[in-house]
Amino acid sequence: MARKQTPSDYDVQVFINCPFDTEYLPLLRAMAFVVKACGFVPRCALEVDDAAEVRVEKILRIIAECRLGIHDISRTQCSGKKRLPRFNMPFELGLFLGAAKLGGGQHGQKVALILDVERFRYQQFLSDIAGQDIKAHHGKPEMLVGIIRDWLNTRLGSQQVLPGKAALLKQYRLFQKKLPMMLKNLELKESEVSFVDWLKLIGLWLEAVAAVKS
Amino acid sequence: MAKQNGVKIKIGNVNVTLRSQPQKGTISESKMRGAISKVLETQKATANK
Repeated sequence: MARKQTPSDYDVQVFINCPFDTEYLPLLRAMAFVVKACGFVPRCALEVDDAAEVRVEKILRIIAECRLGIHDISRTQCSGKKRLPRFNMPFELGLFLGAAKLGGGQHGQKVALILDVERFRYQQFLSDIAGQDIKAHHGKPEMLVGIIRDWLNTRLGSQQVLPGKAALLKQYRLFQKKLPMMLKNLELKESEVSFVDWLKLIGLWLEAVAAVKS
Repeated sequence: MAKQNGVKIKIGNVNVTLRSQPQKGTISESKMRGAISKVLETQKATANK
């Protein structure tokens, strides 16, 4: 019988490249939830609050540690007082794809999932990425849960399985429903919870719910 | 780096290992556990009514 392989740290780390504003928060939380619930480790630039580290260095370090990358390039509209678009997401996608192509060694195994609100919209503003795996979430967190679950499932060896979409959605809905009460108990507003604390809360919640069921 | 030996749970009928984050957060784990168990207790109490 073939021996079951344990994935390495590199194999299970997922670089998340997306907008970090309040409007995007429900999608970021859905993304973090499904990645975490599938047994992977979400990573992103928000996880380190070290002013001493140059931002691009921090991003490069995280990209180097992740085999997988989820990139949401949907935020194309102009924002802020000067009405300018933000280029950080396409830039970080470029860094990830560059690392995969030119980084050598394990970086050649990097795989990216590219997300937008509509499937072929990218052709109007980032046509160089044609041929990549691009999926549309239509701005819906639950759709995102399904897309990411299916994509992660294709990244596993044949002997490993992920929870089904329905089971993950059930867990996600329950978490969403109970979240206001959890935040009230923590005396915190949604915007006051850091990315790392979100991940910790999601992990502890899943653990507690599973313990109640068993 | 992330720890490999995470907590094993079941979602649906599939076993999943919840892997730890490499970084520490700002809210203590015990505080989070307390907030979660309060929610679950309320849920249980409501279900038993």
